[in-house]
Parts: sequence; C-alpha cells; structure tokens
Amino acid sequence: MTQQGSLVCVGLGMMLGAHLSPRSRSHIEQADVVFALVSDPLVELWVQGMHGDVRSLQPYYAEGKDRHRTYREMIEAMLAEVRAGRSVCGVFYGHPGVFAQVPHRAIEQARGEGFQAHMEPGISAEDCLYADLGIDPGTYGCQHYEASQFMFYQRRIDSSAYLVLWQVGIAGDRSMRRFATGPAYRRLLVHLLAHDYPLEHEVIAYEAATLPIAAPRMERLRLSDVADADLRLQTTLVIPPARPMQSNQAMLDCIAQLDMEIVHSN
Amino acid sequence: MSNVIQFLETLGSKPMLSPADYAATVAVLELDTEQQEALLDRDHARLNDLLGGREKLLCSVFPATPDDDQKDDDEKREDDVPVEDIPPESE
Repeated sequence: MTQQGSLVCVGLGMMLGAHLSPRSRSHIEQADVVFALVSDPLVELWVQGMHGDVRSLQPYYAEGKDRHRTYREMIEAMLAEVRAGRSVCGVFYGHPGVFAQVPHRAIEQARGEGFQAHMEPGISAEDCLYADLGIDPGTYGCQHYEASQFMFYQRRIDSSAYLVLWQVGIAGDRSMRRFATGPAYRRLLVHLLAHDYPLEHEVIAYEAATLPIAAPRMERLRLSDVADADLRLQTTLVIPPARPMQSNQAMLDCIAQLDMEIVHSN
Repeated sequence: MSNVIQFLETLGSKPMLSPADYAATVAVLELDTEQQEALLDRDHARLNDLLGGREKLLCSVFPATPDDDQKDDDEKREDDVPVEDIPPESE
C-alpha cells in the first residue's frame, strides 16, 4: 500500500536560470518542503526564492566529518519529512542521478518504505562539457570514472577514446573527510595515466559555468602539469584520445562473411 | 527573490549576446550602485558578498568506493577524527 508522503529528486542543471526544466520547477514550487544541494551560493539564493521552505543540505558537511555519515544524514533529513506525510522535493545541481549517490539512495529508501518516489533528469556537467568543448562522445567513445575510484581499482582504459575523470580535486582521498588532496596524490594519478598517455599529452581542466555572467573553465594543460594545477571539487579532467582507433580485423572479417551469407541467402 | 537573482535568472533563459545590451539592461535595473557595478564587472565573488550568499559551499555527494567495499573500512574507522589528524590537503 502506498503511503502518504512522497519524494521527487530534481536537477537544477548547471547554470542559474538556464537549465531548469518547467517540470522540475513545478515539482519545486508544489512541494511541501524542499531540500537543496547546489554548486553555487547564488544558485542557492535562487532556489530559496522559489519556495517558502527551502532547507539547505550544506550544514551536514563539516571538516573532519566522514562524508558517508554526511550522506546518510542528508537522506535521513529528507526521509523524515516524507514519513511525516509531506511531499518532499530534493533539488540537486546538475542531474540528480549523475555522480550523486544521495538522491538515488533517498529514492530507493523511500520506495522501500512504501512511499512514491522518483527522479527527474537534469542537465549535468557532462552535458555542458560536451557542448563547451565541442566533444561528441559517439565519435571515439567516452569513458567516465570518478577519479579516486579510477586510482583504487584496476581499470582497463582505451586511450583511443575520451577519458573523463570526475572529482579530480579529491583524487586519491580514502578518508572521505577531505575536500581536496594535494600535488602528491595527483602525482600518483599522473603516474597511473602515464602508462597510457605521454606526459606531454594535452588534457583539459573543465568546470561548467554556474552563472550566465560567467564563462566555463576550459584550461588546457599538459598531463605532466596536472599535479600542480588548481583542481577543485567541481573540476573535471578531460583526457582526449592519444592514439587512433585500431581496427578489429578479425571481427570485420566475421561481419563481411555474415554479410555475404545474407546476400546469398536472399 | 532579489532583483539581482531575478535578473540572473532572466539572463540565464534569455541570453544577451551584445555587451552593449547587457550594460544597458543592467543600467536600468532597480539596484544599488554596488550591485550594478558588480554585475557590470561580472564579478561573481562580489555579488555573492553583496547578496549574503555562503562564503564556502561544498557539493560532493558521490563516494569513490561502492558501499560493499566500504563496510570493512567503516567498521575500522571512528566516526569523526580531529582535523589535525587528517592527512594535509596540500603537500
């Protein structure tokens, strides 16, 4: 039986005023209570102007505090209102389901407790990246990894496709208590990438614009300079292909054979 | 909602491509001089100060490690540690 109380998680997109869909805005305006986690202080003020009860999720962060606990508290704050029978709207920057555990977990938990819960898609930093950098992920393929996860686990990467590393500003952090790691950790990341990319390979430090009066950050630098670059929580590292795609001749031969069989059977 | 935020919202959905149009529009907004100057200078930080936005804002909601790999670490770690015991951010 579905209980009273509901949750919808929506995305604001990246830029104030530019990316919020009419449908998501309607969810915000019609909710009983709104929780917000945004990527720019002025965007937070914008959301506060849309509804009389907007509760920021910022206070749940703290220096030295395990971010797993922070995320659990954020989820619990939203679920408490859902259990109280209220229609809750969780507002997140970008797309609420892209590199965003809290909205997914909140929805999963709400549904598990018998409440209606769903997510509305938003325009993510990835979408802005493609537009701003003129990249089509279909051209050569595109791999996306969270930067620390890329370091912690053995991954097979294809250097003939794009590689995008998210949250590179905290690359290598296992403590979940820091909001930045320093050059020493990033040197380890560069060392890892150097297995597949020359150190002089051009990469891009990217940040989507959050205000219509600002430009995106699209800083081109050499891989060897990444360790000492200004990398923040919101910075994404884009690594273009370093070699041409290699034909898979065995597969091409199989496809050619199949094509001939189909022609002959017709 | 402040006039500045309303203007930014309008600009977000109806961009002005001409700097002259932008300046002319800002000039007739009902704002105090400091806010107008900050908008004309496209000074994000100054606007934030003037409007009382947060000085520092964090926005990471994604952990690097999936939960099943995290469980063992959770059992070993304390909930919070003093800031001075955390490895430094910059080296």
